[in-house]
Amino acid sequence: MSYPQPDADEYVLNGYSFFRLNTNLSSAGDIYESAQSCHAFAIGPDSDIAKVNVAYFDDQVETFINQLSIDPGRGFVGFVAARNDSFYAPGKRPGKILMWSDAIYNADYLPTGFDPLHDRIEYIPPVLDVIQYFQPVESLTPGRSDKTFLFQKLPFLSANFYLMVPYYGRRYAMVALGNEADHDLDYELVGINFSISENDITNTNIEKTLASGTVVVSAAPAIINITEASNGVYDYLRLKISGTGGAALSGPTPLKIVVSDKAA
Amino acid sequence: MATPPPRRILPPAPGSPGSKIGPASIDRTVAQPSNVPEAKTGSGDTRSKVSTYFTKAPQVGEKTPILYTGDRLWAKVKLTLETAGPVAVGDSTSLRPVLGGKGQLLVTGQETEFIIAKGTRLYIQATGVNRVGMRIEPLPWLEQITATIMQVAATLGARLPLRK
Repeated sequence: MSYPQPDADEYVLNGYSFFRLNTNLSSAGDIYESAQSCHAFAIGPDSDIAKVNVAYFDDQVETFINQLSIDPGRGFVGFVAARNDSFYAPGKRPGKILMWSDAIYNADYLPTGFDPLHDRIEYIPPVLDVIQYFQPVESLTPGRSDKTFLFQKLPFLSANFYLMVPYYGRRYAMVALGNEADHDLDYELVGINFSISENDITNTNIEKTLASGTVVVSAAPAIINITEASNGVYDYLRLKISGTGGAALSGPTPLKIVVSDKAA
Repeated sequence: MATPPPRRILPPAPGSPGSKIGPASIDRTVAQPSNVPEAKTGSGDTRSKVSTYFTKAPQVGEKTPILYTGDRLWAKVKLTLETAGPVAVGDSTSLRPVLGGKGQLLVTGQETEFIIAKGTRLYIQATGVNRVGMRIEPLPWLEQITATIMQVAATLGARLPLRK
C-alpha cells in the first residue's frame, strides 16, 4: 500500500472526471478510503485483483455500513454519497467510501521445502485498480487489460528460483521460457489458491502442478498454455526454475508470461 | 380670527437633495426617454463574473460559506456542479445535513439558475471537496424596468394633492 494512499480530492481539484485508485497491495488487510462521492464504480484496466468490495454509508443498516462487490464483468452504476459528515458504528469513523480486495493475498507465502539459504523467491505484488466516476454514466464496459511480464535474465543462483505472478480471475495464461544459458534448466509451473490457515505452520493452500519439464540449452523454448477450462482458476502462478542436476546457471533466460481475461 | 389652512407637505422635487430618484421632468406633455443601457461597459452592475468555486468539508464551528451576496439590484446566478457532490445551496445559513432537504441539491452536469435580488445571500454547503462552476450575469433590463416604475410612482405621488 502506498503511503499516503492516492487522494480522491486531488483528482477533483485538478479537474478530472474520475478518481483512480491504482496501488500495489502490501497485505491482505489493506483498506482504502475515498472522501468523494461518485456515480459509478469499475475495476480499472490494470487491476490484478479481480473482485473488489466497496462499503458506503447506509442509514438503514444497523452499523450504517452497506457493501457491494465489483469485478471485471460487473461494475456498479448509481450515485453513492461519501457521507463525510456521518459516522459508521460502532467505531465512529467518518462515513467515507471504503474499498478493499475480496481476494486472499498472502505476502508471506513460501513454497513447501523452500531453502532460505540457497533458494530465491521473487514476488510480483498484485495491483488494486478501481475507478470512481464523478460524472453520471449510462453504462459501463469494464474489463481488465491483458498483462505481460517480460524478463531477460532470471536472477537465480545455484538452487531454485521461484517467481510468483498474480493470476486472480484470469482465464488464460501463456508462459514462454527460453534458455540461452550454459546448462539445461528444469521448470515447474504451479497454480496456487490461497487459503486462511489456523496457524502459521500448516500450509493449507490449494496447489496444483500445471506443467513441468526441461529446456535444453539453445533449444526451442518451452511454451505453456494455461486455460480456465482445462486447468482451473488460481490466485497466483508459481514458476520454479533450477539448473538441471543442481547446476548453477549463467546466461540469458528469457521469460515471457501473458495473462488474460479472455478465454482461449 | 380664522384658522389658516394646513400647509401642504410635498416630496422633494426630482433631482433635488433628499429625492430618491434622479433628475426627471414632471412635464406630462413632453415625452421622456427611457433609461438607456449603461454606456460605460464593464461597470459593476453590468459586469459578468465567471469562476469556479471549490467546496470543502465543513469544520466544527465553521459558519456556512456564502457563495454570493447580491451586489446589484438583480443578478442571475448560474451554478453547475462538475463533480458528484452532494452540494446544497440555499438562502439560509442552516443547510446541514447536506442531504437533509434544507437547501436545494445541485445535480452533476446540470446548470441551476437563481435570480438573486440585492441583499439576498446564497449559501452553499457540501460534505467534501467539489467543483462548482459559477456564472454571475446582470439583468440590466430588469433594473431599468424597476427604476422606471419607481420614477413613475414618485411622479404620481408628487402630483396627487394631500387630502384633508
